[in-house]
Amino acid sequence: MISLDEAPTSSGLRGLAGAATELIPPALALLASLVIGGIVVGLALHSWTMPFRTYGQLAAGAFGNWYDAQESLTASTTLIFAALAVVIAFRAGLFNLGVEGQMYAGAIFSTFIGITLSWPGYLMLPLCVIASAAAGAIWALIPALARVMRGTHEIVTTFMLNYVALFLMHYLLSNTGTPGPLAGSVFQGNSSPPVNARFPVIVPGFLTSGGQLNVAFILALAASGAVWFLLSRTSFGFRLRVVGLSHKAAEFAGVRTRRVVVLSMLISGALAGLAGSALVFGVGGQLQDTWDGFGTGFEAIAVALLGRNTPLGALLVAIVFGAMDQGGLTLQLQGLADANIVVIIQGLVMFFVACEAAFGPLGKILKASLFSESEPHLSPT
Amino acid sequence: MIESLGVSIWNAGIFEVLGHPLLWFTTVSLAAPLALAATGGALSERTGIVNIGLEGLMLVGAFFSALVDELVFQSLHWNAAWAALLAIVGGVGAAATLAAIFAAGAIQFRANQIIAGMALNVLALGLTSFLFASVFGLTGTSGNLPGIPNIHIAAFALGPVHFGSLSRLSWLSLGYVLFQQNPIVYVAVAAAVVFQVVLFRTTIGLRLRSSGENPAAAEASGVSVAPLRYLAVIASGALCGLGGCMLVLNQSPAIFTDNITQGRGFIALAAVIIGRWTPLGAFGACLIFAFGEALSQDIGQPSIGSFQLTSYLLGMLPYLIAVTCAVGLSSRSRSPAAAGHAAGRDDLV
Repeated sequence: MISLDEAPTSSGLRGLAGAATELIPPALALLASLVIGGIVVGLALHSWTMPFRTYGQLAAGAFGNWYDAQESLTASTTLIFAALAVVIAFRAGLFNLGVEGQMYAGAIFSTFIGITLSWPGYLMLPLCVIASAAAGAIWALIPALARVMRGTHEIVTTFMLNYVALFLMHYLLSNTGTPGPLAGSVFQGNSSPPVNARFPVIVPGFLTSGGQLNVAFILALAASGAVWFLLSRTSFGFRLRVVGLSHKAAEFAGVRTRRVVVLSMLISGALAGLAGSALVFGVGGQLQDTWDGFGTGFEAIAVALLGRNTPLGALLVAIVFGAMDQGGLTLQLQGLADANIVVIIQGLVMFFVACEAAFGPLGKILKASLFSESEPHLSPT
Repeated sequence: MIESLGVSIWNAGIFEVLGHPLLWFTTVSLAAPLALAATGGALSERTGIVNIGLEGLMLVGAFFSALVDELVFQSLHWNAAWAALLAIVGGVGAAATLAAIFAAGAIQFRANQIIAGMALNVLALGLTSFLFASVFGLTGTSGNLPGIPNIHIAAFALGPVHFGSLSRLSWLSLGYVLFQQNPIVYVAVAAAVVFQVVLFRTTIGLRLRSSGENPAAAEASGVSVAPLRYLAVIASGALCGLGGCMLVLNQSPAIFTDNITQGRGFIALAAVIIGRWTPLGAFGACLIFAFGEALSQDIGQPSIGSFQLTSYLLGMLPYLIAVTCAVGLSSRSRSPAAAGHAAGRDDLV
């Protein structure tokens, strides 16, 4: 009997098969959630053709043409930053439920800078981006200090501070009664005046029928790379992961855990702040009071968890989720189905991926039938 | 939602504000749905299942109570009392069912409890918003849905007095604060007390807690961990569902709006931590938060000098109070040791 690990000859092929087997449970999870999501659509709309049309249009709305593809990537930009913020915190053993609030903080402060100063563009944009990161980091500093000095659980403080930031934004942008300090023209609803800086558009609009994908997306890609480098190639990243795996072990090993906790929370907050700047200095060019307390910051937690808390996993999942959101909006605009169908599918995917073990037996059967030819050495000699 | 004074109680002195019975009435009333969810959260976490899906369970409870209410009252034309009662059954049942599915994932399939719990929140938000849009359309729930009226337990002793005539806290007005609440409020208090006693004073409570601290040792001493965990998670779902029902039914007419829970499940989660994983402690934390919320609701729109405190700035108040209390009260108490870890026979080896 030869065990799998002792067969060196076809290791490449087997590696491929192994990787494919790895993918079977998540693929089945996705399939199961699409089936159940389709049943929900069918039941709600009393039609058995609707689910298929919905999914077709969802895909078309997400990546059907250059314009939609750019919109999808734009939608995922904020999500990438926010998910990276969650990943950094999770890897340090912290649950940052406050990405949403740190986003608001970053957006608010950078908007303030963006409408009061009017320096030349090449100075203005970096300044605003740095300001948003700084404000996000400061918003995250409060829970971090409460954690290391008083032992207060960060779930409590980060979550509560979301609402403080949210109400602060409502107040600043309010255009009813006495206008808030950051409120712009009454005709634009509750939003700030346009800011004096923008992320430049990557591909000129006339080439792609008006797509507006901007440099913030490239910044988000760079941030994913930077977080990957920080976590897996630096000694600070190593210490951060040790603290996340075992606080006690880190302490015995001489890691200054408090410093690591505070620093990782600061980085997490700064990334969340960047998510805020991607919104303000992107397509809209102003801070708008249309977010509610349960948006991107929470979707980002889902994204980070599905991406298995790795920066590159989070990047991929964020692009997929951003595309789904965009496709859902297109669906709703076409009057085909409510955009929330996308949220249902996202929730189902998460649940089934968490319950991967349930697909284990099925996965084994599939593996046996799919890869039996590629593993001839499995037969007893 | 709650009988309103209609006038600002700000211009009165601070003692009169704090002594106003309406403030305390509102506090207790707002604390109840949070406390129900927090009791569920504490119960579930004590047996080793971290349930961050409280928010989703509350939301599902709220939506299905409104749906059943609408069906029974508008489509079947039953009377208001039946509609409201069946609404509770529907809401609690739906939340308990969803909790059972979560439990199956977390216990049977050893799912990552944080991911599965977050999935619950996402799924509940998507499902209720989608169904709300497809079933109720643009009009929302009917304008005459029956809710659950407040009851006046001590009417025989106190007689009919309303808040307008009670400007300061006295023994009489205390009677109104405590005995004129929604029936679900008393269920919430009873649930916190009962589960506190069950968890810390009974044999089954000891077994529940041992499944949360050391499931392997519990199994070795003859406790069946999995059934206990199922029981606790489903019970926590039912409690969250009831909390959600109260958000819908504690008003006349009963109303469901999109994402009606507005993060209350996460506040309950925070209350579990502040309350050190005990039902009564969590209840206390919910009261603190609800006090801030009541203060921001009932205080009107005061101004300091020429600076007007708008409702937006006052809206921060409960959260600031909660953060301050959480930081002030934190004690480095720890969660149950095995919370978040799946347990099974393989762990015994």
